[in-house]
Amino acid sequence: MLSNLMSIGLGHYLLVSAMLFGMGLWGVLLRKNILVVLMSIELMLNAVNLAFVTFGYFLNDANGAVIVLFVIAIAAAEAAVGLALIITIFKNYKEVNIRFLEHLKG
Amino acid sequence: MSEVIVFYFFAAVTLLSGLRVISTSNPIMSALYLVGSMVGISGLFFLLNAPFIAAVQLMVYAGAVMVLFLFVVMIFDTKDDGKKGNSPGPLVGGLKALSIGGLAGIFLYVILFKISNFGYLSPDPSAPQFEVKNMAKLLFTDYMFSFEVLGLLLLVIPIGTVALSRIRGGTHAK
Repeated sequence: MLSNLMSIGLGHYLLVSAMLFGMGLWGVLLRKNILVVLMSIELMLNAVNLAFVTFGYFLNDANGAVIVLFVIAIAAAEAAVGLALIITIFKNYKEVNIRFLEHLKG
Repeated sequence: MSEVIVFYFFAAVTLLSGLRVISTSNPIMSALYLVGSMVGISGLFFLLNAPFIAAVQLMVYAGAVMVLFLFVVMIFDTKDDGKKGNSPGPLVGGLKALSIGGLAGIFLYVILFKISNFGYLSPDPSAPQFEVKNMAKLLFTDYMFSFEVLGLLLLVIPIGTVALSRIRGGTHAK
């Protein structure tokens, strides 16, 4: 389906989405700075959004777009909570390394 | 033809910015490149005939969420702890990289060889599926319950955030 570089199809959009998801996974697994980990999670959510809208477009279905709205709202909420956690960690340890999450309790 | 060029442009912006998000050691640069990635995705949404989603993406992600991120990054002044924290042990790091590679391989296999089953798909650019009216109808019929739960979530989240941030004196901590 990618054989034709000059006509953009389903495969092209899905490839962009998959590559972005892979980058996000790489950031989540291999970076130690919690801020960058949170940003990588946002990258992964964006990749999934792109896949949803792509399939919605190619299947002529509005459900994909509605789910994307939910995902965007929840991603914003998740970012707020994650950043609040980071602020708490930074106040205690003066550094935002992911290993300090071991000290969470309660 | 112009659509093809625009697609490649936005795809390149998205992917290169995404790569810089995870490869740069300065979190401020990460956040700024994340904005680039969001804008690229938003452009792809425009190409996919979904202007409303694209506008929401720009406002919520590139606007609100990124301001939040930059605000927190600039509170901290954490310029270089990306460098020293970037090296897991060889075994664990290799295992993680291997798992990422495996997942990427599965994605590639599915997209290149299995997705050809969808070859009959013929998108109709004039179809109204992404019009706000249709989405709103779905949102207030099929997704009514989820919508209400989302409202509850948005009520709980600020309370939790404020409670978390106020532990030990909030911004006036010693």
